[in-house]
Amino acid sequence: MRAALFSFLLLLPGLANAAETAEEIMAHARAARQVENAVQTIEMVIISKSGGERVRELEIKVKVGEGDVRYSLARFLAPSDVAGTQLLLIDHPETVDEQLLYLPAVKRTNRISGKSRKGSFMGSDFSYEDMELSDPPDASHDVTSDSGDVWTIETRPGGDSSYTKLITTVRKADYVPQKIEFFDGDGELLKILEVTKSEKDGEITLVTESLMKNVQKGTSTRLNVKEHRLNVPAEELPDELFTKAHMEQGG
Amino acid sequence: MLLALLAAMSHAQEVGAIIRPEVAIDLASDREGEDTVEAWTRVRAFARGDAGEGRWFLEVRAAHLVLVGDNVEGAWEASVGESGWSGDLGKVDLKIGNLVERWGKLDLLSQVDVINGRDLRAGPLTPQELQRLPAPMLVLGMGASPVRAELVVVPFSSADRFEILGTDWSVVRQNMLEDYLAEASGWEGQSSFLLANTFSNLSDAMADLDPSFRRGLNAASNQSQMPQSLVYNGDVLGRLAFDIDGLDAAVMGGNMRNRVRMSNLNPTLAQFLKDGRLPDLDEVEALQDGSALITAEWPRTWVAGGEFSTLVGPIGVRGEGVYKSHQVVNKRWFTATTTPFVGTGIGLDYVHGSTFVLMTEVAYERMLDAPNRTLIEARESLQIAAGARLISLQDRLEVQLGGVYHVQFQEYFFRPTASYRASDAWKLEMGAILLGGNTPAAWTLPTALTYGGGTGAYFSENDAITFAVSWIQ
Repeated sequence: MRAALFSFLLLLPGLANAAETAEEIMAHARAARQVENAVQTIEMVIISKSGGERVRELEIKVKVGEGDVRYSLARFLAPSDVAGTQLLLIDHPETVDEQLLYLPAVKRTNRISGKSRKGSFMGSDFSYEDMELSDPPDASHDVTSDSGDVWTIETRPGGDSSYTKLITTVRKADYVPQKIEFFDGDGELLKILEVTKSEKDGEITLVTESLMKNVQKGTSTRLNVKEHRLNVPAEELPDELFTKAHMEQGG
Repeated sequence: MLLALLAAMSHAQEVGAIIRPEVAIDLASDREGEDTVEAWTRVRAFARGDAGEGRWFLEVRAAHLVLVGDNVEGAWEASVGESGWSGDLGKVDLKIGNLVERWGKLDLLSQVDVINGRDLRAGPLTPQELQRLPAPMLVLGMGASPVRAELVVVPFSSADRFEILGTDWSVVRQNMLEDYLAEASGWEGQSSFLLANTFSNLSDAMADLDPSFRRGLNAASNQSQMPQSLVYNGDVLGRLAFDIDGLDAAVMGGNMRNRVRMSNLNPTLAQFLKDGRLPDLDEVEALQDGSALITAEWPRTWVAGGEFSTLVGPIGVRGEGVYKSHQVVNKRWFTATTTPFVGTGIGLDYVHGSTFVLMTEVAYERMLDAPNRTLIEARESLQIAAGARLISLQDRLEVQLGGVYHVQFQEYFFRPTASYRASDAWKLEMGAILLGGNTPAAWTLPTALTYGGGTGAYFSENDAITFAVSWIQ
């Protein structure tokens, strides 16, 4: 099963259990991300090697529909030349997931293939694959360190992932991943995702700031949650909102 | 209009503006009178927000044009862009306003994208997002997935916009008409004592025509004899779309007016032009019998089509086809007729994230009852298009290559561009426009009115390098 767009930004608290296996810890962390309905406005700051910054703003709507189908719809709000660009992710629990990209300049929706998801997402250091934070069915996990208040877990994604290994540092108190290291096909460290700020909203821990660094290129991308609404009433997020027809009708 | 936009912005959730000056420089001096510099400054401002059960959206467009040739000519225009409201009305959804409704899956060789007129006044200098002209319409939809039905009603038929006269992208190029009238003033014929001076004076008047007057003539001619814009003269089209297991498909059809005019020069007058002689006196009387020298109609046509797209592994596969019962086709010596028409095409694309796109499209078109000698169109045509886009440096550097090759005419159009996004607000671009073919470009009015090649060769003197700066907010 895959999670929603930028799903690591939404986390629920859990109760740490020292006896948990790596699979159980990661399953717990995955379950913690199952927020049903949410709307967030995110600022994406793309930082070049020389420190130059470019800012993009997007609104993300997340919903769990019938049959445990998870929908995520991201719409770019700024800058003007990409405003109106929309990305729809439909995560079917039993069948192949769908990604659709709507480009307002050509007024056409493209389906995105699995292979193309390995590419950069709108110039950022995130790939489409990173945003899903997917756990392929044949992924394997090992606890490599259990010290103090964190676990360190090594994941071999397998499948068609572009990564050979992920090393995740998970905080025991609330299962919030503090850091994820991504290793490329050659086994070299490629990127590091760090949670730099989080806050509580009721029972939910919300990651409000995170930073993805590409250590090979020297570039980075910062995500700031500017606004959020969790547990949005279902009628505000009807199923029709998460369709190709709605993306193309949006004006 | 601007005040309305400003008022709307106060409640807008998305507001933006782009100002983009672009200059095209023709480095070769191919022809007397051509414009060596063409500069378009395009302004687009938009706002969007929630309203009731839907969303409103508002867009204003403005453009400033400078042409530098024999004369320096400048002009402003402003228009309403895509503006309206979309939302739910119970079990149906509605989109209403000044809209662009795109059908079809092909980007470069579209066949079934028939609803909106096209802005052809600046040829390839018109940005992709501004090529379709918004028109007042409503789109009523029902359902979303896996089946959706749509009804499109366009109450006021619109038309393609192009320049008839006096620019590098017009059919009648600079000085063609003036030279021809001057030549006609010297023709033999009984009526020469009546008409020679008239033609000579007309030629002088055309040469001295104020550019703004010529522009007004062009604008008026785009709309000349347009049928009364009432509901029964509009377009009604429907579309049934399916989205099943990763396959997007649709069938569509309807009845609409052609987006180009069917113009016919009086046959008697056309014969004099072909013969290169002035009429006898009795023939002049015949020309004055009340029949129009030029007639223009906007014939209606039935349209039926289909489209699909899907993924086969990492490759996107797209296709579409269309049948039109009465497509306007231009013939030589300023005459036109209609013909049944079929067009079909297929496209393949490979996409890697948002950094690399490679695509190719092939289209086949055929006029089923074409006249023997068509003008700047082939009765049967096969076109091959290809494009690639490479984006690097975190979306800062973008290189695009795009081109189309027309097999029958052996003509090409190639448009490479490169852009650098210096900051959020500034983007610099440079590129080239390359056109060519086997048939020499038309130099005189008779060769223009009998031209046997296609658009690639017709405009082959318009090769240029382009520079643009965008200010984005």
